[in-house]
Amino acid sequence: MLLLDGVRFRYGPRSPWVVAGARLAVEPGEIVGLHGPSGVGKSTLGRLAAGLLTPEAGRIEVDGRPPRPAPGRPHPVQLVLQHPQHAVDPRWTIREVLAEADRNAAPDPELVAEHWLDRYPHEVSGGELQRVNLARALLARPRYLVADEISASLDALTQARIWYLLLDRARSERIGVLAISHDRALLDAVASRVVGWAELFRGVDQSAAVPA
Amino acid sequence: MTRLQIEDLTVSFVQYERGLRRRVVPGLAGMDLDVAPGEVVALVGASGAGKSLLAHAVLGLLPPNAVESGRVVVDGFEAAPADRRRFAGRDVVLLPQSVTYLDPVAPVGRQIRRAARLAGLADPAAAAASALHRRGLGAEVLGRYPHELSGGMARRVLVAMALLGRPRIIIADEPTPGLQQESAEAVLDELRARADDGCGVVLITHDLVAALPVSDRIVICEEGRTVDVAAPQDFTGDGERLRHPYTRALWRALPANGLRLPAVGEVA
Repeated sequence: MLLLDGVRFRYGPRSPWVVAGARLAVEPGEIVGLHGPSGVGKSTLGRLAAGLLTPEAGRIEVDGRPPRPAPGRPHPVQLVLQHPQHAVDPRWTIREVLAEADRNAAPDPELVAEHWLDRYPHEVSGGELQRVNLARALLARPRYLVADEISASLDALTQARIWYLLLDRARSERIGVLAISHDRALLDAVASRVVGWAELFRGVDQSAAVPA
Repeated sequence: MTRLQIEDLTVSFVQYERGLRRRVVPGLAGMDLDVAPGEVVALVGASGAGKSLLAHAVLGLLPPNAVESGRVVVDGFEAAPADRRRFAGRDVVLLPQSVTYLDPVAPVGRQIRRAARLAGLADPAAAAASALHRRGLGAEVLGRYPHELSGGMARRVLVAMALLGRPRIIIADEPTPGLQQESAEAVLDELRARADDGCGVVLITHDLVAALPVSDRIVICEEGRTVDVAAPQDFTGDGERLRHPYTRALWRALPANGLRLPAVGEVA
């Protein structure tokens, strides 16, 4: 289980809390949708879950332990973002981009076409690059995946295709997925349950969240 | 007469690889589109289908290694790329896709005033301030640099700049991603109002649902080619009124319509 319990985070000691005591659990193989208006802190929560930010208080556990990947090993919670252009080195070929996650494994042929491998990121379309981005996250053999608005920049058909590929891999490899989106209809279609942002803080004393 | 008429526009890029091996990269393979005064025409298609490339071609902004064929007619005048560059910014304006179109080392106010001068306005400073004010941004924004703006604010600055003058044609390239629903609707409503004033508007978007209420026609493109033109009211039910299989597939793949993928072989 990916567990966030009482997680608090703010960007500076005097800044307001962005995440004020969130609780969220994702089971292996489960697809949980997180819904809320933009700017509310969903992406910050995703970055906390993936270990890119450290909470000021509260605990984050992956399968019962705080996630501490060995040096050089990928984090067990992988994050996929909306804009793949910002997640890859523009001077690396797709082959090099994927090798970052695993130098020896071949990428999933259903996600990445063989003839893209020697191209540079700007030489494939946005939808194709997002598939590369997802393939890289899967090559890291994650236990959990945070999918933060991964299809917000894609047309409807490309969006549906990438989600079916992701759902299929999550099912076959029992990867738990936290799907973050402002698009309620999308979450209803892909997730087994959808939680609203406010539900993460149910029962949390918000007054205690105000910094002294 | 049409405001903008694009006929069988093709664009390809000539590149030289290591040594002198020449390769031709296709961009647009035959785009057709026309916009009458008073119309909003949405151009919808997959990313990589050539939507932004079409916008850049119409403004004469293609790089020197681009080779194009076909016709671009602006208000009845067949415009070569050099003519289009002359129209750009005044008669034909681009509302660009990315906030990186703002100059990162110049304050916002200076950039809007420059746009106002290019649009031929008498008092650029007053025009800049009122353009921001109309979009809910205070005068303090004038002194800020682009990196000091949130994504949504930067987008509103771009809208303010693009719509300063009285252009005859507006090409809006994905103007709404990253905006809250109300702000997104405000931008689309403003484009609609400009069209109602006699402008021709091309709305480039991958968001079919947002485009439907403000558009007069929907042009669908795929792999650099126009494949279908449909009326907004044809996007209803299961898409049975849509003729082209790709258009129908796009409609049915929307989450609200069941996130359905076409069966193998159903879409060309």
